[in-house]
Amino acid sequence: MAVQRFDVHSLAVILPVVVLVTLGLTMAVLNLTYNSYHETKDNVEVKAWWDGDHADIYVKINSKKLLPATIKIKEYVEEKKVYQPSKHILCSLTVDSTDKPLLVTGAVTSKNFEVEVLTPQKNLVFKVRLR
Amino acid sequence: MKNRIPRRRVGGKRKLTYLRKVKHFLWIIGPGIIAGAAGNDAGSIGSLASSGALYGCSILWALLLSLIFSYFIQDMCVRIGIVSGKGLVEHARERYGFKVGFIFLLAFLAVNFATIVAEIAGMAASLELLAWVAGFYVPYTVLAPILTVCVWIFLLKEGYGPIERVFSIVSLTMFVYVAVAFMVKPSPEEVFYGSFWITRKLTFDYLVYVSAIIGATISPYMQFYLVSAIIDKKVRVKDILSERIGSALGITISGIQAFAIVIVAAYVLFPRGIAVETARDVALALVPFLGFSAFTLFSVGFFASSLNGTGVIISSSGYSFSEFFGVERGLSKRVREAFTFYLMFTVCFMIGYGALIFGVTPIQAMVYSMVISFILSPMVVYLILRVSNDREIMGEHVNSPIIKLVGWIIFVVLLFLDAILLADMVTAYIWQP
Repeated sequence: MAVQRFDVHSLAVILPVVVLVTLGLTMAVLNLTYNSYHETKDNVEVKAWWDGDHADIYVKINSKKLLPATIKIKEYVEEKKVYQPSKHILCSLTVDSTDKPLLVTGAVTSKNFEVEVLTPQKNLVFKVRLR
Repeated sequence: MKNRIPRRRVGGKRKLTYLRKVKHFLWIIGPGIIAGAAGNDAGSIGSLASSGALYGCSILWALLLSLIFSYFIQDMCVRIGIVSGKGLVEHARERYGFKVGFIFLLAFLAVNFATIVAEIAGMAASLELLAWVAGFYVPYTVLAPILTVCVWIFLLKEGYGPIERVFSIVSLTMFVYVAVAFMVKPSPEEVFYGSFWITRKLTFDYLVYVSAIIGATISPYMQFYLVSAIIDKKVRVKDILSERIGSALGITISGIQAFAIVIVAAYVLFPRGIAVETARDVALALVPFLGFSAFTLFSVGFFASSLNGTGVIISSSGYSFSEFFGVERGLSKRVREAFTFYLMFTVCFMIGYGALIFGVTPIQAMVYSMVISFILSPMVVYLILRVSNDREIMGEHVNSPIIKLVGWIIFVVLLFLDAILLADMVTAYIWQP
């Protein structure tokens, strides 16, 4: 069996990539785990987390009585000190099944926003603050 | 019967010769077309869409101007590559000595490092979008390191060739913007005035986007790549006309695409006040016309463009750096033999991904990499001009007096815009409260 010779040059090329990528992956996983929001109110579950340059939002309706639900996302505008509907969404967001949660990616570029869930029974507001 | 057989043979030969000629012509014009078509990489697409979304059609003049510049600059690069058979970095070292040549090399690498950030960000952002369309969720921050490693390993094992062959074609899906540009029914007057008049005050923010558009179109790294690709292919002087046609075709293709991206953003995002803040927003401009499938089309094309750009940048950085120091290079060599080459290969990836880890967002990377390209472009244009004006190097293919004049006008205009941008940058920095 041939013995592979230890090559310091290969190591010098490979090691920095391994270190950097491991560091990046660890930071990404830690950020996604700890810099996240999770709340359940009246059978409506909302999760949100920060993914580099945007927030990803997950909405799940656990009761058929609350269907169909319309989702509205409002971002905080620092200059005006008000919440305004996200401009990054051009169509209406609806959830019409308890099996199919809604995942919105890249629709919010602010870390301070509100997710409004409008159902036939009641309207719920989730205030999200990410770090 | 006897008469028919020779006729068929002659016809077959003629057909074969004709096919060979067409094939040869396509092979010759290939690098020019690729440099043009793939010139609209992640950085360019992001910058064009951001500019259109922020300033509407009033930024089209910058695009038209830069396309004209690009045509002349690329034509000079084609001739330099074929006639001299040497890369631009090598010319800089031979012409100005080691120290000045090294400054040119650093400028070239700075552009490459800035652009690679945009390309890696573009790959990750488009794959995140594609996965989302397919019903999977993979965060961008997790995709970026995984993609960095995968592309790094693939390029080390297979080189840029396979990526170029496949993804240059796939990146043409971005032509969907051309179709949508007709769907938005742009006003011909607005497009005309925007293309030929400066209708806005040259504020600092506006200038940043003007420079990003010029940087995106001229793409200094593409000029370096084009010269190297022509040398690699060993294109002969007798094929110079075909190669120049290829280059002009490439710029026309990329120009049409670039105009379409700005017009679509200007007519869809600008009136709604949507600033391009994520890669998803670039695709958003297509949604009113193509529905949800816009995300799929965009992410496939954007991924291909970004991967293509990554391959070009990484390969050209490794080759140019080793070429400058006259050391062994090439993926066929062992790491021990071509250590400098492999090191530069890796450093490029590390800078690209490292910037993303430490907080640079994809759209920031896309716009600012093009601004850096623009700031350094006069330096690159100066080198191209000096080499292509040199009769000793270029022989009968030296720049004609008119081209020389046009070349120097391009250089002066770029330098002037550069000076305004830099002066504004300094003023903004000093007066910042």
